Amino acid sequence: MNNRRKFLINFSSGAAGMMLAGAAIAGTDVVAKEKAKYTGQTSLSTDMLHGNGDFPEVTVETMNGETLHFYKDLVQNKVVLIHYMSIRNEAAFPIVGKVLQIAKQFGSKLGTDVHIISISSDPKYDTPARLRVFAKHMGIPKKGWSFVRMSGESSTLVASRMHGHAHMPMPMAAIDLIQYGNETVGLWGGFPANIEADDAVLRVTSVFPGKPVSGPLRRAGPRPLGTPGMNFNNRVA
Amino acid sequence: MVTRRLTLKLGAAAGAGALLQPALAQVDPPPTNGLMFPEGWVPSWKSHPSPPVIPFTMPLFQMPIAKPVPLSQLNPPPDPSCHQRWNDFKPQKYYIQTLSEIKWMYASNFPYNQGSWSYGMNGIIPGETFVAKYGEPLFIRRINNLPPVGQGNIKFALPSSTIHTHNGHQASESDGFPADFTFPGEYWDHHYPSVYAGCDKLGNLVGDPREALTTLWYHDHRLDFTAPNTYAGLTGFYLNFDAQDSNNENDTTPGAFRLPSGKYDVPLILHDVAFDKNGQAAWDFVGAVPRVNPEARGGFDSHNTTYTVNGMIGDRFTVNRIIQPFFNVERRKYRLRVLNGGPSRLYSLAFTMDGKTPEPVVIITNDGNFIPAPMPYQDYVDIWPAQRRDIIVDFSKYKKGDKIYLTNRLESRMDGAGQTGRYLQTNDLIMRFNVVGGAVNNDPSRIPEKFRDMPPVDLSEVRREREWKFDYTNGLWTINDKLMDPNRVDAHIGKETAEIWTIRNDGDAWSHPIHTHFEEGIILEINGKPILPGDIRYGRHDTYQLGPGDEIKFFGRWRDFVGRYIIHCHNTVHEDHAMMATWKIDGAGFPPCPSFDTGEPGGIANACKPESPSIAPTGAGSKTIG
Repeated sequence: MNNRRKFLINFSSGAAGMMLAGAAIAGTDVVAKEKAKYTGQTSLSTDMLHGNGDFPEVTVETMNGETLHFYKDLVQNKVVLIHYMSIRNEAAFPIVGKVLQIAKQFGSKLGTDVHIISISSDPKYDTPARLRVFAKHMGIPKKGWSFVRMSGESSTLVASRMHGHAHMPMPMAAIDLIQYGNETVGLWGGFPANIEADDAVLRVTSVFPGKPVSGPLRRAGPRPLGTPGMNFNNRVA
Repeated sequence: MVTRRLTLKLGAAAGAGALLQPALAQVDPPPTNGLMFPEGWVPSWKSHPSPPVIPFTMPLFQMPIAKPVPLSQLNPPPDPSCHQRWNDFKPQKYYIQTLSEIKWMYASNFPYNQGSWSYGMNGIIPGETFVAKYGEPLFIRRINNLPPVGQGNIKFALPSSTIHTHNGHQASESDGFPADFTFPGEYWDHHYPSVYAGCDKLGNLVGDPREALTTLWYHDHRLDFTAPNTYAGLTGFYLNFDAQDSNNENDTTPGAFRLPSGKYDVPLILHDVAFDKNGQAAWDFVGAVPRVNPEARGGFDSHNTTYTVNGMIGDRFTVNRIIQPFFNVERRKYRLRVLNGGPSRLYSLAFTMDGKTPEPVVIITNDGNFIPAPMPYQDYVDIWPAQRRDIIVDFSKYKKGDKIYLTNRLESRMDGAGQTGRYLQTNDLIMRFNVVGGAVNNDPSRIPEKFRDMPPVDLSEVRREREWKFDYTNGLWTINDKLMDPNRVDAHIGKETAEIWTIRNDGDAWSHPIHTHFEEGIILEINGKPILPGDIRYGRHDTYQLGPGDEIKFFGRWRDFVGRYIIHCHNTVHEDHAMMATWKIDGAGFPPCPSFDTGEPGGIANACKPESPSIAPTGAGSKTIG
């Protein structure tokens, strides 16, 4: 068992003794309640989706205790990876560990070309204090990666946008998709959390803002049989 | 599988009293939709319909046949070292197909006549039709000249593509594997051997003519973005011919089918599309939700916050990318190749004069395969995404001025996840055939009494059985409880072996058109019942109708090439959300059973099974049918 796994297990099992933050999260959701179906009527004018990617706007609490707008502050005009996680589930389903592998491949592009948002699906347990300890232990880069939590209602709204059920995400997920997109364009996709990091990086860079192409055409593939390349495709290395 | 029995059982109200009007699906309030979404998910076009179109005023677009180019035009030239069996199947014709952003006119009235931005191929959608002949291998270079991300006019699709020729018998590296994609400024070379399956076993370079394929199509298969990319335009036909199906209705060679050919052989690809107020194709995952600044989004607006991954349903029916076109037909036979190009809508189709009563036709194929004998038919036929039917319609029995409609009676769920279980109260009129001209006395085309024998099902060849379970887990579309990972192989298959696969839908509220690449399957059983000659579902398939709770067992062989291929749901929205799995043909022969990397969860039958008499479709102790 490596140190990280030991930490996660210890962290989870020792959780009961830690102070619970309680249900309340600072800030008020700007997204209103469920609306009338079929009729087109809405209960509040603020009950809207934002941007090219059709995101709800909710408030979130970061691991540093700040209150931010999910869409305006974290998603708008960015290339973003978004996923749900929970500290107590990381040992069983190491999604943060996977995203960390991806982040390391991005290197200095993290925080400039691409950003990561990790949303707690266990917000009562995943207090800012715990998220800070967790992030430090995992070795999460400080730049370009936000750990946040939000109220159950807000989380339900965001989960609905993130290809999930229209209810609060389950903290103990065993499989999941990581959403990625270029919100400036409104181009969004999702990849399974268990794919290889180089596969994920290739997918995410696919939605980076493009530049006009010049020069001769490049052979993408297939590469010569038996020559090295990525395991998951036949592209020329 | 939407059989008449099931539809009725589910409480369908048959389309009694259907009127001949160009209305689209007239539906009741959306039904309970199972486990995923709150009831009432509605697409944006329910509140903001696509701009109106006067139906049947624009002629059908008939895609031109792709023209080969000289080898010298390929710069750099093809690299044979990149392709399996290049020298065995050296290309005899070369093509270049360039993907680019174009404007396409779906209808002749405003705003459509301003052009709708699309992903075109050599300047058109659908792309040119490739005509291949067995024994005449092809090579296609596909150049990605799409505008880079953020530079183009289409925002919902990704300018990165891989093109799959749907169930062609081609090597893995030319198959359009989802991770084999290009970016703008790149190209991919595809080698199509035009060989019947089974050549290695027969020890020749011809293969088994009983394995001949006919109506195939090509389409984008890009990981995570297949649905929007195909919706944007990346689809087209790929037709195979040989000495029997010779593309010549005047062919007097013994054995030639002499089916309607030339301008009487008409491919028809159906896509349902939603448009914004500016006549631009609009992708609508979110449905009708109020949006900030809707004007910037083409006027989409209104009432749901759930981002659906169930599917995408449009409110305009297009055929060959024209909204409700008309097609003038002479009083003679036509071969109409009907393809449901998706992304999600299911059809139950018939040719009707009154919008509801099926006219007599003759069905000749099932997906890309001839059925053993022509089937006279006077009913609706279900065609799910990616499925095809070649249908002979004899217009000689109609009078000049008669009008025949391609008609859909099946109601799809508004979220695109499948059928509601009801028929429409007013059927959809997809396109119209206008009968013109006088009697044709010299129609040279024929419908032969029989086509090809089916390849035999020899259960002694079966090395193992597998089960593929299609379900919904934790808000995600899964196969055997897993999501697609192109780096993981879920089934290793020995080259030149046969297997029996069972595909099962564990859901009770959604439908999956399941497609497995490269080889055809012969259905043995559906829901435990053998499928016998005379059944519309009998024959070889590449796409299977897996309705709620359905289970289909089929026999297949994996031959001639090695490498990775996939099985997936061809509701491409499900596919994009990882309802896909990789299988791989390993080298010659087959590994011993204990060494198989199954990839499946426990409890699924993975044991090698040299033979399995219990699944013989015709019983009677015979191991061979067909």
